[in-house]
Amino acid sequence: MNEPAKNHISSVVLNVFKTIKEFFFLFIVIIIKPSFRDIIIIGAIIILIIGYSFLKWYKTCFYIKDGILVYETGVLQKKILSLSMDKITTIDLSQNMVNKFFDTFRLKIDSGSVQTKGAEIDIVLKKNIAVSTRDILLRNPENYEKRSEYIENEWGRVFEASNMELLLTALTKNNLALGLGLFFSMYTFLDDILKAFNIKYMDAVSNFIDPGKIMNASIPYLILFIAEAISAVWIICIILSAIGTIIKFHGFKVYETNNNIKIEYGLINTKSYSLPIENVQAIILKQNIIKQKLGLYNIEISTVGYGNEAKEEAILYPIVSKRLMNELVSELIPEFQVQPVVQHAPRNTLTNFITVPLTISIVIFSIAALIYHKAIILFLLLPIILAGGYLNYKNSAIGFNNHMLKSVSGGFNRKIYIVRAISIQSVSLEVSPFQRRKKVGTYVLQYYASKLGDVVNVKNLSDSFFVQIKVLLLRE
Amino acid sequence: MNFEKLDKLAKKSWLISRLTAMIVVSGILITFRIIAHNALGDKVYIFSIVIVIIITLMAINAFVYPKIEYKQWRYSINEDCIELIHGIYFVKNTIIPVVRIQHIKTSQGPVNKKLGLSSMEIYTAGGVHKIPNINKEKAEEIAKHLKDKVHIKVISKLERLEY
Repeated sequence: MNEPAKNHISSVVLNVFKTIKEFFFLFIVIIIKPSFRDIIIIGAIIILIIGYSFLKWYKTCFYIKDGILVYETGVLQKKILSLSMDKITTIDLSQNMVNKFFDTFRLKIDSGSVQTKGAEIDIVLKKNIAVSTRDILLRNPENYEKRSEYIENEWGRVFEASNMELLLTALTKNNLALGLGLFFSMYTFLDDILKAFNIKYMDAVSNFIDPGKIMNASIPYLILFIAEAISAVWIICIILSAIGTIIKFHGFKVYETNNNIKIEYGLINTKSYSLPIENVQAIILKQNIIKQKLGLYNIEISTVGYGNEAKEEAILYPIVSKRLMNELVSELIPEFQVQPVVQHAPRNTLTNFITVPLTISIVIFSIAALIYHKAIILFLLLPIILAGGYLNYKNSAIGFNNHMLKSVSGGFNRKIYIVRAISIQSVSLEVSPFQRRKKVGTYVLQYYASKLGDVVNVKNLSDSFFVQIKVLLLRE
Repeated sequence: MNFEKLDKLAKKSWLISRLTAMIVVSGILITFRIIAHNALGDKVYIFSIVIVIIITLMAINAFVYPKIEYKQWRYSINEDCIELIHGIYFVKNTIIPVVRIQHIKTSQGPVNKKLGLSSMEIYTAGGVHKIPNINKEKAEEIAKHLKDKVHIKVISKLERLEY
């Protein structure tokens, strides 16, 4: 490892494809109506991309010198990153289709810096070099010889997710929100494609639905139409989500080895994460309303470097029952086993939880109804908003002991944070005039999270906890 | 706990910077309203109302809020922690333990440069907290004081761990 290691040559191909993908729309538009000049431009761009990718490959290397990992990059301006090996928080090995073809792995290394977006070191290596590099980095260089043997053998209990569990994960997701999000993000894409073929969006839609008929329809018809449309989108989303989840998390397993949590999964894109247990700052449990009713949880861990990239979730296990959660915690992160008892929001704060969302919704719906009178059907959503406020009131809670802080918040989507007291960076209490009379406030706790802006936020809890949390913070 | 106020010139700093922003934004909006008069058709009155609302809010922000903000803003820096209290409608009380501070940054915009003021940003591993508009010399003094404190705290913590 003292000799500089370069990216595998396949990274040039990967980089070319990645850059071309970014200019995808430009290429589509030019290809649909090609002219000689356009073809010359495309050719020149591709040659430039290949040349740049090759230079990038040539200029990127990494090596270990005196216990420091050195990573050199930069085409025009040389950048040298020196990372002390004991500061590494996450080592992630992943393999997509192209990597599989070349028998390579993408190795990503993260340090504790929360200011950096993505991994500090991102390199493609031949499989055997990638795996041995990871193993070397995970060992403490001082007792390398002593520990090398049992690193291979000492595994804790391996937790493997079955396909049934993955299916349950998919079925209990917020599939409708997912589908609507997908629809809106696809809208621009579809619009560009349709424009390229000289088709108007509304023309394409009106082949299936008559927009004029909908605009003039009666309110019951409108409600039925919206319900049917939502059901159709929902069913499609459930099917897609089930397929997507099973492919993404296929063969999911998590286990502890030599004070590191190892997480591996993936059918097409395989991933393998190694997270030092001592760097786990918090456990985050998420429950949508379906999961709340079924007593199931999404379990995530907050450790710098894991889950901070696009489309990456910091999951510890795809879906857990309370029993499995306790087993996972006691086996993998026993420090989080003893959890504090929580105190709920006082009874007189129920109005605080309900009044604000209800008032805002009524104002927005009224304006919408004034502009377009059939938007009055939006008022049918008020019971849902009311129920959301009530659930938020029931959930809102905070508790702490000498080492941990636990908070519960959210209505239909409940979030439970269990954070190590030592990881809490600051605590704020925000009090509105309505809260002041009731001696309550909103607690905002910043902690050492994988993403800046990841905060614990709990509403309408007694202001007396503030001094106690202050004492807890100053003690650690 | 001894709380300190921001510099008295803070009100002036807020007023000048917000008034400048108000004049620029109002200029852009009014010019757009004049140019696009015909294009807006019968929607012109909605646009005018929106412009009036935006300018009114910016005027309140420039002329009224600085006084309230100055009155509410308090900070205290002691052995173990920094405490900040500020806000207009929502009063926010924040505690930052000194040992959690990663680094401190002081900055000066053009208005503060004229008035001899500085803003201080306190960085932790979880985010940033800001003390705006304090006397420049005082900001530098606080920044140095905090850096020393962090250094001492970290060393004593390391010694404790080694022990």
